[in-house]
Amino acid sequence: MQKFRFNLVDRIMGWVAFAIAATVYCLTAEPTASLWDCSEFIISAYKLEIGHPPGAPFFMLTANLFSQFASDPSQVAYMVNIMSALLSAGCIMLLFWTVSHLMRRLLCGYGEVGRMQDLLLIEGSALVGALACMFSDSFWYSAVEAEVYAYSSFLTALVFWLMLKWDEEADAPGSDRWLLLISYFIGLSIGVHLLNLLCIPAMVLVYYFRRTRNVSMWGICKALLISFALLGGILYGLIPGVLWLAGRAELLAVKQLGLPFNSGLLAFILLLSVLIAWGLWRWHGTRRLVLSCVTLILVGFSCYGVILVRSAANPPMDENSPEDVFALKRYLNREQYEDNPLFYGPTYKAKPEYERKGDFMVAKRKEGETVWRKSEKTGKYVDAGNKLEYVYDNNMLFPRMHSSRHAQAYEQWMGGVEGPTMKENVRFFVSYQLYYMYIRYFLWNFVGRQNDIPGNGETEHGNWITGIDAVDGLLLGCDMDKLPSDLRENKGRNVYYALPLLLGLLGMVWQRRQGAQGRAQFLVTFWLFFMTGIAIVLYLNQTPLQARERDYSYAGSFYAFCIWVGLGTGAVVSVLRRLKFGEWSSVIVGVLLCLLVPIQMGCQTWDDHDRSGRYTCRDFGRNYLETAPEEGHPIIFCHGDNDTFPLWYVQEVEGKRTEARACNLSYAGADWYVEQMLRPAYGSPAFPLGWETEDYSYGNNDVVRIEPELHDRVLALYRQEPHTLRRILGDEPFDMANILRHWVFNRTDGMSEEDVRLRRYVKALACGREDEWETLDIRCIPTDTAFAVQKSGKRMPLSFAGKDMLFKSDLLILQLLVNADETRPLYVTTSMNVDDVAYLKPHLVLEGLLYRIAPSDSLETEIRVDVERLYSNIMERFSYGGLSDTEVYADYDVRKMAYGHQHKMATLIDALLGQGDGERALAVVRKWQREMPPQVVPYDDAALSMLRCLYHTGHHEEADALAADMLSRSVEWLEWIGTLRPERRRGSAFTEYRWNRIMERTVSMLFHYDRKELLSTYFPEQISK
Amino acid sequence: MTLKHLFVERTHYVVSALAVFLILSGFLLMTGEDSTNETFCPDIFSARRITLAPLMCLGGYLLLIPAILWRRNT
Repeated sequence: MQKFRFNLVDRIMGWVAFAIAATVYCLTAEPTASLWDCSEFIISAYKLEIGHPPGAPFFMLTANLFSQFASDPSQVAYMVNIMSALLSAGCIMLLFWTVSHLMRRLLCGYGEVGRMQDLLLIEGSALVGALACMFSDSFWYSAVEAEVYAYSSFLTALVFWLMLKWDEEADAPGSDRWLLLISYFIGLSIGVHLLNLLCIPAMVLVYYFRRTRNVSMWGICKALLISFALLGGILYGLIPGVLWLAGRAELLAVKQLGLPFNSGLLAFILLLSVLIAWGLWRWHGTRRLVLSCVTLILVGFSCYGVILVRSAANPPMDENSPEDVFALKRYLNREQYEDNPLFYGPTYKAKPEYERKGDFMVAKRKEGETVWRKSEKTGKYVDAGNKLEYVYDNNMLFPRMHSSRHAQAYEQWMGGVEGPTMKENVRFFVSYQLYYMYIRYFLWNFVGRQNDIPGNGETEHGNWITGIDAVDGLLLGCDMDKLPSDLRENKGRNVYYALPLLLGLLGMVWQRRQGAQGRAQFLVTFWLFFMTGIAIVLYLNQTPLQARERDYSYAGSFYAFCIWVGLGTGAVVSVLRRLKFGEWSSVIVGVLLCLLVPIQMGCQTWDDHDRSGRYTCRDFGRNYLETAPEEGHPIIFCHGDNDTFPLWYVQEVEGKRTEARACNLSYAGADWYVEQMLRPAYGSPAFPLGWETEDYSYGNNDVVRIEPELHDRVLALYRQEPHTLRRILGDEPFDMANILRHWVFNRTDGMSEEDVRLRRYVKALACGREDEWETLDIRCIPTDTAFAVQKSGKRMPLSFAGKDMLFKSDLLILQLLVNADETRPLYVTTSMNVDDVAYLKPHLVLEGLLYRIAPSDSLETEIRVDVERLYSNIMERFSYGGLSDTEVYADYDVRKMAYGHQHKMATLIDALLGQGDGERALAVVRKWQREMPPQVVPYDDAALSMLRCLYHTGHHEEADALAADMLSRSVEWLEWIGTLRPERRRGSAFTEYRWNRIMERTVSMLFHYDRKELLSTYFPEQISK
Repeated sequence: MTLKHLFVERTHYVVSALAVFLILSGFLLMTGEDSTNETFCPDIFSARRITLAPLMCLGGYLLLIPAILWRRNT
């Protein structure tokens, strides 16, 4: 057969794979934004605002193109999701061609495909691999939402396939253009996600095997070492090096020569371009090739210009404000996040080393790079001090348990830690980081997944399973026959009986045994698999208690494994041949058998990847905003990802409620964020904080200590010298306004110099440090019970009992309490941990998904409920994301947010019943049943309020059915937990407690409403007594 | 070596120059009046800055691909 015809068939079949994948992904794409970071990415694409570090400028440019196809703003998110779907389909197509290329080489070497059955086998195995990847759990998850992972997988597949393309025509003139293109895509891919760099080792191996005559162990090692040097060179040399040089040029221009901002950067870019042009003109041969590659990487990287330019525009979302070259470097280094040590560093038990300084012991710190910050006022860069790093006393090689914040979590996972010794360290690495955070995900994709509940080691949460009950019972240590229906019916439960894994392993072995070509291919595929999987595990060095499952990070490695799944077809066919099947029949039977594997996967994964009809992220985000009134420019304090990004999405993309402002307290410690709150955004005026740059800049007022013992001393001083003290510390010493003015920010406006000195002295005196008063301007909170005075004259008591210090975010809230003064309504999201802002607790009123901060005159007040507002919000203003459609899939995070709504409904039902308003309580029950039916969001303990209401209003039959459902589910859960092996039961203690409680409360309600008949069916003995 | 076939034709230079020109003008079009501490500037979301400019940049980046791959048919 002619090569031409093979190429044609191969090309067409690849596009067929694309068409299948594109159809599946477009059908199942989410019609609006998704939870977590997706909203952020959509905003960054549609309006070119700045998302979290390290940013994704090339993603922004491409997704911006897709957003242009939206007919109105509500379609923008869908269009960006479609981009992910199409890129993922492209990735599947490239996988098809990758498998067919490798298979062809194995069957026909460098020659042409001569036999029809070879053609069939090549195309069949490529289709098996492509479909397996397409229907796999993690890959599909990223394919239908607006995240960078679909794009990143596509670019990884693309550069790998380009390398094979190069391999194909390596001897023809001009083949090096493929290397140039690869360099260019590597540069561009930095503007999507760094994951892409990880396929460099596999590509270098392709180069090595093609170019070397005598393959040797040492040669392979050398090639790998070179590839690591390349990877490290780009990541730690080229990119930071160029930015460092640009920073020097910028400092020279702005600081020394007094030129405007960015002039040094532009001059540097110009100079660099001239140098490169000169090099390209003068150099020839290999030097020229290398220079061309480096240049193209830099050209690709230049897409970061989007970040610089757009951050300078000061858009409402401008995370870390990377508007100059120094801030950009910090942004790229992700300096906002903690550094995880890789080779040598502190264990979690390490304490900072102390050294003697005069009379004090101070923590020893290493000075890092100078932090340069832009000062708009002076038009210069100011030295904001050096980056300080603590020096720790307890260091070890390859530290895997490193985060002091996770001490308890490490010990819980390990069941006690002594050292950590190297043995424990390695045990943690293997049992948690490698097994739980990688191999478990790998097995989810190719063996089976228990359910969609995020796991931290519990028996009932997110394990891998095979689908064969006897095996799973042994794996999990429980009786699978008694598995509760909640778990068995969970849509996230997908089982493949390990068939894809077996096929992949067969493919791996078969490939390895096909002579020199097979061994070379195996090494290349293995390094792709390793670098995009286990290498990431080593690099991330994850702690327990991750906020969510992280399988999406490893999609590249699952992609690589699917190459082996495809090649597994070759293994099956060769086995069939050995079993004396004919040439043709073994190929046909083999391919058809193997195709069943991905088809079975698709049947399992469809229902929990089909996001069509789901509008929860948008609607729930809007419900937060709609809880706040439309007048007064409300401010909403939030904390997490899912109570912030969806709100931003609704405002920035759909343009709704832009007069309100969400203020994420976990960012509020950072100067760039406070600065954004001090700026107006759309119709929302700046926060009335009255803060100057130095009040919130880096290192200033990050924490302020609370000193309760000063309370009495300050009062005593007021008694001694009332007039003077009032003049220098305010009329009321513990009025929050005075505390902030005189004890935290030490304001001097309107005070004579004499008074300022006197204030210093008095504060030092109160602290018992009067000797040092001249050098000391104390900053602290001199009490644990303060108050804020409202415009109406009402006093709002504030208790800091049990707190050692206040953070910058607390100061921001308190300053607003003082300054906003009932003119700007303040709200806190109900999803926030209220104990973090415990001083607000007595002043909170539940109105919907938000608490209003409404002053109460007592500290004893429980959280109050504004029944009327809550009722109108739940019944009229809220929408529920299409969950009323029982076909819609609510994954764990969606269910969690839906339960958030249900708990508010339960509170409302109880409150209405308490008022004797059964009619409206029943209306709420009906709304709940209509909007969130139990097929989509199974009832949990909040449903007990529904039960009470049904009995109360005389709907006994319906109530009995609900009670029976709650009781039988409790019984199922408790019986199943009873079958767990004793050592595994502890992990399920909370689930057991929860269902015990649900059962108890149901039973007591049945007693209360005298439903003995129903009770006796569940507890015959107890009732007859 | 096959290097002598790399980036030697006029077409390579003309198309690359066009691509770089597109990218740079895209960045230039993205700039303008910015929001400040006093005022929110709606112009930062004008069609020129968030539609035309990014499309030009993207066009430039994509144009570099044929610029790299192009070769005279032999």
